[in-house]
Amino acid sequence: MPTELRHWREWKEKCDLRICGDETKAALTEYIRTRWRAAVRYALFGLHGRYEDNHEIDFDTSWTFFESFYTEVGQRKVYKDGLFDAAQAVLIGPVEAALEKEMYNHICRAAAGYIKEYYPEERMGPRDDLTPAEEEKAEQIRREKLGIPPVESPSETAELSDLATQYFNKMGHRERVLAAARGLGLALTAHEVLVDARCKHAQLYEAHNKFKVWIQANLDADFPEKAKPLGFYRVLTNRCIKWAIEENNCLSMVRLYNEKRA
Amino acid sequence: MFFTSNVPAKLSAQQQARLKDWLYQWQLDRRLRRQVEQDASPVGQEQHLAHKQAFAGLITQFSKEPQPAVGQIRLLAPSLVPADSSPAFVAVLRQTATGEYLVAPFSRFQTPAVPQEILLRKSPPAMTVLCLWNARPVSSFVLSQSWLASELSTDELADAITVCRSMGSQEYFPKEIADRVGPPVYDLADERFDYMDAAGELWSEITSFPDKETE
Repeated sequence: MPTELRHWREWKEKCDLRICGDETKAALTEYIRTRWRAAVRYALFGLHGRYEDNHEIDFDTSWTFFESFYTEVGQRKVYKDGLFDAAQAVLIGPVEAALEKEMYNHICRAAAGYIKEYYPEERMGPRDDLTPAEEEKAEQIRREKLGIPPVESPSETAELSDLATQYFNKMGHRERVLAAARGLGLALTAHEVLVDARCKHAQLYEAHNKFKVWIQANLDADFPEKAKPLGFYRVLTNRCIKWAIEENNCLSMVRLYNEKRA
Repeated sequence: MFFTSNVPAKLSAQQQARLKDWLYQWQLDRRLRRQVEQDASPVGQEQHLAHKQAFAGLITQFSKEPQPAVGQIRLLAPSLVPADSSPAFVAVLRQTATGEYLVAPFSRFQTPAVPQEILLRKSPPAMTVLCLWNARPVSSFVLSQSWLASELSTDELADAITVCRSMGSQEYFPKEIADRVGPPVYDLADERFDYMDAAGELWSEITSFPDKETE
């Protein structure tokens, strides 16, 4: 049963789907159940190569989860205002299609939370369709993400500091800005970072990717036989932060930084 | 902060579990977002106007909302944020000397990713983890383009301010806060930076939005 604008209007006006008329209830229930299940199935197939239907995704479960995802108990359902307002600006199809698109955006976000709760990674296990070699590789990547690279022995601070100064001296303005931004926990997409870097997103990303390759190649060359010094990034970014803040090279970032620290 | 000052042998068991949990949500989110993006297809201006007329009277006007105030959780108007950032809930942390409001967005995830994200409350899931690294001052007018969704408790606000003030320092968090923030970052290539860059896009529209109401 396709949804129509009047169904969505009634749902918005009456607030709770359960007290809507039968036709509205049937249309939106069908829509939500179908899209919720599709989202969950799509995500699980993608990550685990399978989807076991254990009937947890009935309407009541999914609807309760969806609404409580965005609404605090006893508070207004302002997410609906956001949903309708966003649909106004959606440049697709008829009005119903715009609403369905926005609703699906909301459903997907809540569905990710639902999967985390009802289909945790431990329970789903590794993908069935991976070969043992692929599985081993996947596990290796996962271990690397979770753990810390092996360290032979922490290097002396003075040594690290000298090394960081060497690297710092070879870095250009843009590289120093992005390293300082990383150290300060600012996104490279932040307006202030782009102002100080004097470039657009795309150029800063390109510089960042080149910087990562450059720094890795240099560390490989400087430490051919042993593990890389773990504290190096901290020392290098601290040097760049000092350059940015104390040496007044990034006024825009500093203003934002100070506003947060105030 | 992001690059930790200590050199531990490995993350603590709690931090490992938290990072694993976050990575799972990150993967799920990326996959589901791809599907949302595939759904879009453009229409003309005429239909766009039809959309606006169809919703007339249905959306609560901002002028009827309570004025912004410290401690509120507000849902930013979709016109203020990129389409894939909506719904964007933010917490109002404090008023600045220039009369702006320092606001921080809530994460898409229910697990803190980095040390400057804190698990502030248990529910609702869309308003649990606050991203203090992504806090930003916005004008009173910009913030008034939002709906009041909820309010932080006094303790929640105090915890958020503590984490926010730790920006860039090696400040020690009290245990009750340290237990609720994300794991440290050790490497420039950590994919949490990709997440931060994507989440930082939240403000890209606001930086070009007028600070005051214009005719």
